[in-house]
Amino acid sequence: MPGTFFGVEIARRGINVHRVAMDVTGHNMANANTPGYSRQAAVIQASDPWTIPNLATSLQPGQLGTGAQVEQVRRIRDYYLDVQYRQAGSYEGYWEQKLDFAQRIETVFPEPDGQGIQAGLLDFFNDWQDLNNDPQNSGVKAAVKESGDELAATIRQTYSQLVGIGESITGAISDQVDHANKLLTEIADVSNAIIFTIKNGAQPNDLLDQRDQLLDQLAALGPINVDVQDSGMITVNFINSTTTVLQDDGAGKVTASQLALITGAGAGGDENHLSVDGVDVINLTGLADYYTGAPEGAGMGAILGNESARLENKDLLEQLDNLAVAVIDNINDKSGLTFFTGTGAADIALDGGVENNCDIIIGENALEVARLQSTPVTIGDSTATLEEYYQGMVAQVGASVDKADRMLDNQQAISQQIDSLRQSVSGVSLDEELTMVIQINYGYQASARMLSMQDEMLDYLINRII
Amino acid sequence: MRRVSNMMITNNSIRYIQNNLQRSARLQEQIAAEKTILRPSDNPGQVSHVMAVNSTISRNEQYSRNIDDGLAYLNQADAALGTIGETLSDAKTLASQGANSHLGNDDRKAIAEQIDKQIDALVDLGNSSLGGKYLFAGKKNSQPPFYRDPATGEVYYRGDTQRVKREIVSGSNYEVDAAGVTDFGSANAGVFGTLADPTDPANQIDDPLNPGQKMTKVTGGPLEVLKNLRERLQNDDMTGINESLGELDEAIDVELVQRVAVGARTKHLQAVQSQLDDQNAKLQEVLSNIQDADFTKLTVEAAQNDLVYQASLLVSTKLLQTSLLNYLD
Repeated sequence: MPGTFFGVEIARRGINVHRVAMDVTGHNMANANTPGYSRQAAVIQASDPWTIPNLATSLQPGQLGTGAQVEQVRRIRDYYLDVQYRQAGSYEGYWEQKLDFAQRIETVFPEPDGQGIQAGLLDFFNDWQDLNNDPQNSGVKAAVKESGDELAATIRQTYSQLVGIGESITGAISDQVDHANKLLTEIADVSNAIIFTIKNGAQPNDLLDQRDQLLDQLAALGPINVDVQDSGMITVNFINSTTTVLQDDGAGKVTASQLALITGAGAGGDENHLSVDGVDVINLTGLADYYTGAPEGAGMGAILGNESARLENKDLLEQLDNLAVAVIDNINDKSGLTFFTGTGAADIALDGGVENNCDIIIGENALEVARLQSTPVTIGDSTATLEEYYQGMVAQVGASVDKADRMLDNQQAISQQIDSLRQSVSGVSLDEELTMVIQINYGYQASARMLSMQDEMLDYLINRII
Repeated sequence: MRRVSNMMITNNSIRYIQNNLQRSARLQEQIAAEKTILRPSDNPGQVSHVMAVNSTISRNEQYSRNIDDGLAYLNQADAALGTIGETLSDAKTLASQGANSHLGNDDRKAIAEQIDKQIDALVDLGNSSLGGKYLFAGKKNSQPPFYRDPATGEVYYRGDTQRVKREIVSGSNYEVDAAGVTDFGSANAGVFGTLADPTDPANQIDDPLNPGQKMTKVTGGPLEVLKNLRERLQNDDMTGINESLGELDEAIDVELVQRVAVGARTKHLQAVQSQLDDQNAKLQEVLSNIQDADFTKLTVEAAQNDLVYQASLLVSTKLLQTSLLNYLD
C-alpha cells in the first residue's frame, strides 16, 4: 500500500518530465536553422514500479506505477548516412576544384571565334601568302613582321597566364592544407570535450553535432576514414588509408597531426607531397594522377582536385611549349633566316634582326613558309599541322570543363540526395515540434491539474477533519 | 514517407531558384551573342571542327585574294600582248611598203626609222608594270627588265627567267604571267625572245641601274625580227625585207599563242575562284548550322524557363510562409 503523498510524487514527476520534454523541443526549435544540428528527443519512460517483485515479496496482481521519467535526451542521427555524405562530399570537393580551375584555364583560350593563337596563326600565314604574291614589297614584309610579333606575343601571353593559374592552384592547395590543420585541431579539441563529458555520464549531443560537421568539412578537403568509439575517442585517416591524422595519444586523449605541403618533391622535382608531422607520407601527384587513370581515391577531395588541375595545367603548358618550338623551328627553317628566337612558349619572340629591318625577310621563301599552314609537322610526340595541334588543345580544354561540370552536377545531386536523407532523419521540422509543444503542454497541464486535485484531496483530509 | 524538415524546404528552394537562374543566364547569353558555342566547353566535340572550318574559310579568302592578284596580272599581260600584236601588224604594213620596189633608199630609211621607234615601243611594252611590279621580269620584278643600249641599239634583260606564280588552292602553285624571255637554249621562246649565251662576254653589258651586275642580250623573238627588218630597210635588202614579212607573220603567230595561253590561265583562275566562293558559302552554312543560335527555339525556351522560374519563386514564398505558427494563438 503506497504512502499518502504517493500521488503528489507521481504528479511532480509528470510535471518534471513534461518540463524537460518542452525544453528539448525548445532547443530543437532554437536550432531549426543551425547547420549540422541533429534534432533531439527526450526519451520518456515509465519510472520503476513501486514494488519490484522478488522471491521474498508476496505477489499481488498488477504493479503500481510510479509515473514517468526522462531516461535520456537522444540525438537522432544515422551514422551510415554520415559516412555516405562525407564520401559524396569528397567527390564534390574534388570536382568543384577541377571545374573552378578548368574554367579559369578556359578563359585563357578565347576560342572558337576570338583573337587567340588560331587567329594569330591565320593572320601570320595569310601575310606570308601576300608576301608570296609580292615578294619584294617592304610594306608586306612589315606586315609579316607585325603578325609574327603578334603571334609570338599571343603564345607568350597564353603561356604566362597558364603559369599564373598554376601558381594559384598551388596557392589553393596550400590554403587548403592550412584549413585542414585548423579543422584537425578543432576536431581534437571537441573530441576531448566529448570524451570528458561522456566520462562524466552525460550525453554531449551538441558537441557530437559540432564534430560531425567538422568531419564533413574535412572530408570535402580529402577523403577520410573515421573510427569513433563509445568513449568518444576518434581516429581519422586522411587522403590515403594508412595516414592517420587524428589518434589516441595513449592517455585517452585525441591528438591532431600537422600537415604541410611539400612542393617540388619526387624524383623529377615536380610533385606535390604532404608531410604529416614532418614526415613526407602522402604523394598528392601520384594519388591525383592525371595522366595514367585514377588510382583509388584519386577523384576525392578538394586538395587532390587541385593537384589534378595542376597536372592538367602542366600538360597544357607542355603542349603550348611543343607548339612554340614547332613554330620557331619550322618558320626559321622555311623562311631561311632566324625569324623567331626562343626555346619555347615562355620566350618565343621575333628575332631582333627582323624587328629592326624587316627587309631581311626573304620574299622568295614566302610560299614555303605559307605552305606550313597546311603541312603536318612534328610537334612533341605527334605529327599535325600547327593549327590542328592547337585545336586539339582547345578541344581538350573544353572537354575538361565540360566533364568537370557534369561530374560536379552529378556529385552535387548525390550529395543533396544523401543530405536530404540525413535531414529527413535529423532535421528539425517546426510543425512537428509545435505539435509536440501542444501535446506536451496538455501533458504538463494534466499533471499540474492532478497535483492541484490532490492538494484539494489532502486539504480535505488534513484541514477539514476535526 | 520521409520526414521533411524546414531546412530541406529552404535548401531546395534555394537550389531550384539557382538552377532556373543559371538556365536563364545561359539562354540570355546565347540569345545576346546569337551563338550557341561561345567557349570551348559549350561543345567540346565541335569546337575544333568550328575552328578548322573558320581556318579553311580564312585560307580560302586568302586564295581568293591570291587569285584576284593573279587575274590582275594576267589581264595586264593580255593587254600588253594585244598591243604587241598591233605593233607587229603595223610593222608588217610598214614592211610591205618597204618591199615596194618603187621606193627609193631615203624612203626605206624613213620606214626603218619608224621600225626603230617600234622597237622602242616593244621595249616599253616589255617594261609594262602593275602596281610597281614589272610583268615580264620574272620574279625579279621590281625594276624594268628591258634595256635598249643607246649605243648599239641592242636590247638587254635584267630580270630573271622564273615564272610568277600564285598559290590558288592548297599546294597548287599556278603561273599567272607570260614569260618575258626564256633561258639560253630553251625550246620555247618567251614573248620577247630568249637570252643569248650568258657565258659569252660579248652578250653582256654592265647594268647602269645596278652597278656591278651584268645584263644579258635578248635574241630571237619580235625584237630581233624588227631589228633585222630595220637593217634590211636601211640596206635596201629587198630579199631580206620579203623574208622579214614571213618572220613577222611567225612572230604574230607566236604572240597569239602566248595570248591564248594567258586567256586559258585567266579562265582557269576564274573557275577556281568561283569554286572557292561556292565552297565558302557551304562552309559558312556548316558553321551556321553548328553554332548559330536558333532564335525561335531559344526565345521559346527562355519564356518557358521564365515561367518555371516565377513558379519556383511563388511556391517558395508560399511554402516558406506557411507553418503551424500561423495558426497558434
